[in-house]
Amino acid sequence: METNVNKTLYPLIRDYMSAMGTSRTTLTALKSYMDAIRRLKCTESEFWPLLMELNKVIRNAEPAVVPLVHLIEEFEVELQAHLNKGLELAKTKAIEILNHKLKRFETDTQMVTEQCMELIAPGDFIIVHSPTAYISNALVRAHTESKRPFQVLILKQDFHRTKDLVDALAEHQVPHLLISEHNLSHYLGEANKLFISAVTITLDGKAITGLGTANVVSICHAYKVPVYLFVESMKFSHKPLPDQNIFKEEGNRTEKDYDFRITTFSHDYVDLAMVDHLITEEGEQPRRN
Amino acid sequence: MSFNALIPVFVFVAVYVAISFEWLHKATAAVLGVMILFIFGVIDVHSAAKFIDFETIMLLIGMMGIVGVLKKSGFFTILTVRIAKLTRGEPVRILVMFSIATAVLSAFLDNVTTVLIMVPIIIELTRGMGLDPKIYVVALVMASNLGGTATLIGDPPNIIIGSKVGLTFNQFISNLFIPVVISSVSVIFYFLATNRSRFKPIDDNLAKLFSVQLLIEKIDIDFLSFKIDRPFLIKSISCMGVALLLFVTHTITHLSAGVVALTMAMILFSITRVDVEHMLLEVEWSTLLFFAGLFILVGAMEEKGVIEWVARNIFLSVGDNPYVMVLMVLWVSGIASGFIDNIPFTITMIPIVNMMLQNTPIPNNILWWALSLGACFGGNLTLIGASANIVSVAILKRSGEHVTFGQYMRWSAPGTILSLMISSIFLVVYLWIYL
Repeated sequence: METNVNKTLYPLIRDYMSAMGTSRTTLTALKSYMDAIRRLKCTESEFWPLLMELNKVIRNAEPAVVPLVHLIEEFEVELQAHLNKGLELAKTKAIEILNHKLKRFETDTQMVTEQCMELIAPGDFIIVHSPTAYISNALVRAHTESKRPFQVLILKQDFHRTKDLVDALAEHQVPHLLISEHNLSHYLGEANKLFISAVTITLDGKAITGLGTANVVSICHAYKVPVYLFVESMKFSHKPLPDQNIFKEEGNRTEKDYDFRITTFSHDYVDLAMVDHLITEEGEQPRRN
Repeated sequence: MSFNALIPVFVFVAVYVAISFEWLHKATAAVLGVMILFIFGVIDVHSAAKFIDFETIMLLIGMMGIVGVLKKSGFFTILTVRIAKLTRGEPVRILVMFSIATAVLSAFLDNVTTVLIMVPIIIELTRGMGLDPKIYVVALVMASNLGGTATLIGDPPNIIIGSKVGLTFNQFISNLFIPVVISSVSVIFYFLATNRSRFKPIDDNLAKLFSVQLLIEKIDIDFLSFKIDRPFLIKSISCMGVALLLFVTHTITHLSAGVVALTMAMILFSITRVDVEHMLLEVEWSTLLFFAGLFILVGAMEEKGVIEWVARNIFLSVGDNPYVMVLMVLWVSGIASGFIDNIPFTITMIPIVNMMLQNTPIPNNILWWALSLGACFGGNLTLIGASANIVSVAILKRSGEHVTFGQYMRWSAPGTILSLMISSIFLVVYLWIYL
């Protein structure tokens, strides 16, 4: 059963993360978990083993959804005390705990948005890559609420992410420009900030990011454009990079009837040494050596 | 039969074979056939034009135009994503809700358009749930062929029969609604009963339940990534609604279905200000050319007495028992449609059925309903029985799922026989009531 579930669930999580980001994936996964428990039909003795089986699958997702894993680990510990009170009560309690985790994560995300907003100054020309909802929200709110004049340079990425960001900025008339990643060199003289987010911060000081972010960070670092990395503290992993299950695939890609044998990874990673400012919901974090 | 009569027979058979074995595109084959008749002087251009049923052509162009604009509005995508959400990932719900939705949609759109809308989303949904999409797709395609039988505009055989014979939208729906609904429900039950393990509930599987919300949201993202233009959507749905209203009120307005469809399509193009050149690409001109060619080929055979010969020596030789006649038309059409294209078959059968009725009048157009039910339901028999079947299997193949001819028939044939048996009972009872 677990193998069949992996085949469908891991690509689903991966595709969702690619389109919507880790934070939104975490929130949707928690809602999905609550709905699953509501609908579940089992005996009292089956309940805990079923939860453990699912949690094991979530822990081993490729790549790991670290904030979700952290929240699930807390959930397991907190639910233990309620397991012997009957199935219905255990289910109710499980949903309650997950709902609490969801609200906490939403609050953390909102606080990161606030921190991001504070770092947008008048006259900024901000490059955005691997944006999640809080960077997008911060840009919109800085323009609409704080009325700060600034401009955004969007680097085209995954279709859904780019579209969502462009739509949000256009709707609120935030001045922006959309370019291909490989044209960034033309704007490095003007840009004064790079805003990125990450899927995870690993124990050995790497930020796992969307595809292309590593190259963008490298070039910005070389041209001394300050790099701002925004993450919830929930995304800090207890494991190093090799244990993050970044998905690697070898396959054929055909262009103009020519077959390329190509290796692709689901995510990039960036050394935190190239990140100038690491910001969580608690504010800027001290740089790691 | 004279030598002059044999030429159109040879040409017709050659066209049929060329289409069946895909040696030529169907439009090319049909038009080439017509050109050969012109070259050999079997018919002339003026008489050929008279054979073309322009009512059918207008109805097809009009409906293709309306459906093309509706597709652009995103209406169908919104509908299918809503249905996907309502299923909540439950296998039985996926089968039942998508089958019903497909059958209903097929009653008003052509079957190929319906499956082009429904099949990609059902593949995404079932795969995401770890289910085998193939059986769902076959069930869905069968539902489209069944549902399309219910109305004048739902399936090409009905469009041809209705236009040629003068049967109205209301007559189709009031006479065929019962066998279509009973057959559709029966086929769904058949799939559920014979494949229980594939439709097991998921409510004891926490991992599958967990996948549902993520999957539904992903489907939402993948399929609804466009911005919905509400005024455009409202105009499109309204025009479709007015067209249906005018079909239904034919006896009051005396407007033929072809006139209604083409008029509403042009009004829709005008009020939505679509790029007409682009929209006209939605009209399947090759299909229309194919129809026109077939009308001429069959018309030529009719003029040369070939149809009369076939009618007298095959269909009329069974005698004048109305029950036998009705069941013969139903089952011959049903089985034949499973293996050969039901459009040329229907066009060929119309003059034959006309002769049968001249010989033995049968009330309430029951013999036409037999032809309609046979030609439409029969398309479910095999993978090649209907265009919708072929298109769906091609979509499955692009998704990495392969269905063989035998595998398809193992699922489709029993359901088709069941629907033809239900139709037989319906027609016999209907005939018994009115004789």
